[in-house]
Amino acid sequence: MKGMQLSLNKTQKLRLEKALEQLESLSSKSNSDASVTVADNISVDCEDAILKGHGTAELDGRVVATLCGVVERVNKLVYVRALRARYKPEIGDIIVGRVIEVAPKRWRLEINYSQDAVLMLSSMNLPDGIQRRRTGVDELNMRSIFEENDVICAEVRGFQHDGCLHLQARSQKYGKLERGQLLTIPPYLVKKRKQHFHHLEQYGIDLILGCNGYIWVGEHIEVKDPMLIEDQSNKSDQQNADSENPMSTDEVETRTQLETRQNICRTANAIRVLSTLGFMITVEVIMAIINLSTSLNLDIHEMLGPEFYVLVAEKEVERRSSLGKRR
Amino acid sequence: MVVMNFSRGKNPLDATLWRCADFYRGPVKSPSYYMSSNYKSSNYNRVGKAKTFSTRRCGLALISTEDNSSSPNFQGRRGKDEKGICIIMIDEKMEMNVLKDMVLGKPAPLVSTFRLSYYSILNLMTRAEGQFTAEHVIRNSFHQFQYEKALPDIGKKVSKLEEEAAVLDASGEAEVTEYHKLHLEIAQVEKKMVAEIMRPERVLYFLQSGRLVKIRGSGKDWGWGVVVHVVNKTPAALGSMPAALASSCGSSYIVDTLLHCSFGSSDNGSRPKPCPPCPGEKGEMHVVPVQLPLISAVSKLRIAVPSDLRPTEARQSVLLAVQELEKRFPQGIPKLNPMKDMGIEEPGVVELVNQIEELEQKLFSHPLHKSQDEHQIRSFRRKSELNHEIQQLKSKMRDSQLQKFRIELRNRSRVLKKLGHIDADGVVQLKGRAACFIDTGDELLVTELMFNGTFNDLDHHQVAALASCFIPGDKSGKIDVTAVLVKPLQQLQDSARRIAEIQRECGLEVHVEEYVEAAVRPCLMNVIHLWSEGKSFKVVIEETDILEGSIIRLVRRLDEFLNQLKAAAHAVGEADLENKFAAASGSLRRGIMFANSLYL
Repeated sequence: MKGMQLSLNKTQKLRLEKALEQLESLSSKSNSDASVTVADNISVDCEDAILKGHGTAELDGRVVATLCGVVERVNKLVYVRALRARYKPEIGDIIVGRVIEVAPKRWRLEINYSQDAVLMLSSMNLPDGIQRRRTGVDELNMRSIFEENDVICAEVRGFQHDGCLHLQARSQKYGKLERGQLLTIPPYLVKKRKQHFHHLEQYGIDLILGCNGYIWVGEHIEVKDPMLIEDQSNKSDQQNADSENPMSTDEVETRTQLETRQNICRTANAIRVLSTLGFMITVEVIMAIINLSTSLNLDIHEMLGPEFYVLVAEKEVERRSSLGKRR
Repeated sequence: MVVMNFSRGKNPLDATLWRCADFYRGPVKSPSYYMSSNYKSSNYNRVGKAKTFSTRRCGLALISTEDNSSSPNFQGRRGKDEKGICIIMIDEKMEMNVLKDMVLGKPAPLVSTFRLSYYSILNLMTRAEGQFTAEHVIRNSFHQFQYEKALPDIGKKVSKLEEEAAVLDASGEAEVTEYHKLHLEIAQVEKKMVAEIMRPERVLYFLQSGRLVKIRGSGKDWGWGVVVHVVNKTPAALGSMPAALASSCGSSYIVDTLLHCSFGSSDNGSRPKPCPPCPGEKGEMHVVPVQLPLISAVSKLRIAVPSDLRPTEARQSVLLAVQELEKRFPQGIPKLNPMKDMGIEEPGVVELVNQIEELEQKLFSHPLHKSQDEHQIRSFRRKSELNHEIQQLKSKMRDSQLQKFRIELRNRSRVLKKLGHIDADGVVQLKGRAACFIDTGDELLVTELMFNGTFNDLDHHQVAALASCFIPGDKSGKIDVTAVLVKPLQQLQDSARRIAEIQRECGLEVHVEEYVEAAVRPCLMNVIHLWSEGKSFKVVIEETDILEGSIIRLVRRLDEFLNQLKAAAHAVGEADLENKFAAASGSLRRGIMFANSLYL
């Protein structure tokens, strides 16, 4: 709820507070005992066989927390999971970032982390798709692939010893993102899931929930299966060669349809509302909010008004209570 | 000595054998010059040296063609050296065809042994695509490719077999089926009975010198042989080992038996491999050590065995006696009846014996027993064999490998979920991320140990010693476990048992006891402990009887394993444990075991 600058009138304030209270009561009680702040003692049963994980330290024979968060236990491992922390990258995370520099043989990306991430030229597919060594000519043509201020989707490949992050974008799903909006939300609102790429078919939009808190909402682009590309590349090569010139001009000319653009804006506003209210962002919640706004026939700009915030909060209460009943 | 000139595409046994140029454009000298002490190879360009092999260096195994043809290829400079020389010294007498096979034979075909391991599943799941990628990997693996390539051949084989089966005579099939089934039933019950009889405590009394026994082992039926001597072989002293481990390696008995072997089996090389003679072939009797479980029947008869079996005539006389007995009993030499002769009273065995008697009666009273139409029976047998083969091949075809892998993937994911590596949605948790780093040892087991705090109380020498249990290596009889490590070893066994049970619950074919036994390999714990403390190589070698090369290989793998454990501890956030693993790895890395080259 940080930075909510809304002018709510009295009734709206009351309703909002009530909704938030209800949400609190719904949340699971089991962990409320486990929340700790810095320098709190963590209770351990048998002192000898405990593994002290992240966010803990040993002080005078006791185990104390060094973060504010919730204590988690896995077998004999005790660690503190912070509730609101800076983004912490893991190997395999999907990241959306913006290019800030084109350096020799690499691009430097800004990803809402304490350091800039690096995308090596060798971790990127070449435009012609052939697997070969990157030559000097490739290095000189880096700008034709990505330039400054381009938005890119990539995956964390690993860390260097100095903590620098390396990315890779070797799949068809990754790469430059066009025709859409980039949103910034607090990274702890995005949970790590199996799928981060979502295609909302009824609106024709692609939704990418980056683990670093950058969310991309854009027009849907067909991702070709790489296996099919190999079969078809021979056939389509010739076709492409003939029709290349007219095709390229066509692409520039076709603009996104009005309806798709409206859908993109609606989705973006839904995400903004959710992030200001501090709710977890998942595809289901986003879809629910969009449906709510269309069912109420709200204009897109009205979604950022105070009334809608309160409605969203109340809707969330409903949703969570229904989930709880189902379980 | 054989010198081979390997040039691209040329026949190595070429006439131009003596061109021993050492990639140094000097005059050619005879091979003996190169072997002499005058030849200081350091004077020459070391990169382009000719490669020498000797069979003695490669141990008792003959070098296969792959070693022959590939090693010389790696000796030259890329782009510059076109030809290479390989000198092989043979120090034992060898047959010509063996040598030809070694040099000219085809290399063994590449067969994919692709299997899904937890390490690969976890790593595939940490990448965002998760299970989709896993199937993609399996579908595009070499294993699948080989399977799909072989599919049409299997289909052709099946149709050929079916044709053959159709041609065979099928008259009077019902009776023959029944007769055949009776035979099979008798064989099955006999097998069970034999397993009961062949317990050492019962049978040893009857295995005196001169007793006739029937041996069947390693797929070959040896027929009747004569017992000479029984030896009790126990493994070396077990020391202070936990009782569970001691009981699993039992004692074994070896029966020295006179068996009819084919000629020519004793002259070939240093290891004779006896084989039974083909029917009609003449062979001679040799004393062969046979393990107790390979005895399939014990006879009532005993013959007199001459005291000195070394002269061939003595053994031949025994052979003649056995053949004479076989002629006298055309129905088969009478076997020991477990109830009347051996005096076994257990109800289970008595029941089996009665079952056999009943079945045998049915067999003898069957009309086909008297009028044995050889041709009919043979054709029936062949047909049933063919049907069996067809069934197997068909099931192999139907059993798409992809489907099998998919099922295995699903079961393994369930195991991972139960152990807490992934959550219900399939997102990898902290435990799974730690296990992602480990592939040199059993990843599930070692993660369980780490998360149960087993490594907390040990100092880094003991950590290194405990970690050595995970590395697969040579087995040894001599196992010595220090007192401090008994408890962690016990915890290791318990965790292994738990994991094996979970795997079995989730549908994987895992034998719990086998898994537990294979998981615990404490052969080199003491050695590693001493080496880590800083003892010299000489002291360390004396602790065990495993070959030095195996020890060094194991220590290098152990170093890699400890580094992986260090990365896993770092992912978990345990700084103490990480430092402990780093210290353990550092204490191992010294001296001769990690020397990059023995010459510098």
